[in-house]
Amino acid sequence: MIMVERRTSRVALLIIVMLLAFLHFLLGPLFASWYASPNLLVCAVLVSARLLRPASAAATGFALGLLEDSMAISHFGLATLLLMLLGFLGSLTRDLFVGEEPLFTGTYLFVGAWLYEAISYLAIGGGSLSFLFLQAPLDALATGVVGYLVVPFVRAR
Amino acid sequence: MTLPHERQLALATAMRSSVLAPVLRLQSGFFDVRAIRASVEELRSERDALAARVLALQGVDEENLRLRALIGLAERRKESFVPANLDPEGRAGERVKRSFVLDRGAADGIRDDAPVVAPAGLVGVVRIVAPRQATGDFWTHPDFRVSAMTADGRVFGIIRPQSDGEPIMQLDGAPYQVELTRGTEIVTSGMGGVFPRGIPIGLVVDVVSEEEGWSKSYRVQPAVYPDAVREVMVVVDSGEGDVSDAWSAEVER
Repeated sequence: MIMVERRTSRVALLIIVMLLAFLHFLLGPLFASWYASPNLLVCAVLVSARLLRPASAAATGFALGLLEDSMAISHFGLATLLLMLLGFLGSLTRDLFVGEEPLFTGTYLFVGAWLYEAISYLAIGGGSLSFLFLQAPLDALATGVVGYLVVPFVRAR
Repeated sequence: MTLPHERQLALATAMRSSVLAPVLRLQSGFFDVRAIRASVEELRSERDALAARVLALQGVDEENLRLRALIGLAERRKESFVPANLDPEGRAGERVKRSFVLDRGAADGIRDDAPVVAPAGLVGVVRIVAPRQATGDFWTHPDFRVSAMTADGRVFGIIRPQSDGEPIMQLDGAPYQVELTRGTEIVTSGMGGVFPRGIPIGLVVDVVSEEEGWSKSYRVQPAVYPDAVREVMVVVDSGEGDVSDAWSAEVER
């Protein structure tokens, strides 16, 4: 019985990750014009990292990062590297924080998304504090909201 | 990240033509809808202005042909242009965009390495072509190079983006003996087989560096800034030839 439930959870996770990736690329141009644009790929990696082992989470990040880099060719490899690391580190949090309290989930999604945005921005040579402490947190907040809505669908039963 | 640019492009092409192909098709339609919505109002006002202008210009084409025939000039070979909407691609917070996506692709005759131009001048070059979409590099991309010359054809060099991340160009390899003054117009030279001759690139600002007795490098103010361009033309029949007449004063006016 437990095996069946776990498999169902994995299938739900796979569907959610694919759906988020699809929507990320489809609606990317639309999100870009919003004040706070959610990064659905980061959301997919962070959500899946809480359910997968570090290696699997890193592999998910690698695959999604490769897709992201294929869409924005400048700084090729940056998203692959960062999402892979994000998946790996996100999965390690399972050993530190057990359970899915709303406060923890929200903080986890926000911090993960903000770290991705901030490191990515610094890596491409950006130096604007307003982006790091205003735009990036807003984007991370939007990503967190999406993640918050998605988590119940993939939550391990 | 350490892969050569060609390998990166090959990898990106493989992903775009397989996993991302359905998304790109949908995104292409999405671009169309956005572009149509944005341009309806603009087109309405342009239509009225153009109607008046067409009336004023009626007969000018015929007169032009008559005059050319009169002085025995063969009609200049016309380059084929494909109009396209451009959408800059980049990472969040990227100050100077390096790449772009066009809503036209191989089905419209666009091919790899096709020059992309705007009414003001050179925008960049197409790198990856999908059936209904193409991806390219702005001139701001670190790997971008174009053979250039002064508009009078006196001085030749290579144009590249300056490496400090500012949206400004640098002309390398200009002869040491010749001094280019501020405001000298730089255009494509047509050498290299990618960009046709005569596309405006920018204006000389000042000397950046000199190699004693050998060559000079100049800072060049670009004719086109990546952030300021959304509608472009893709040259689909290029490589050789001269397109400077397309930017002549008569056309711009």
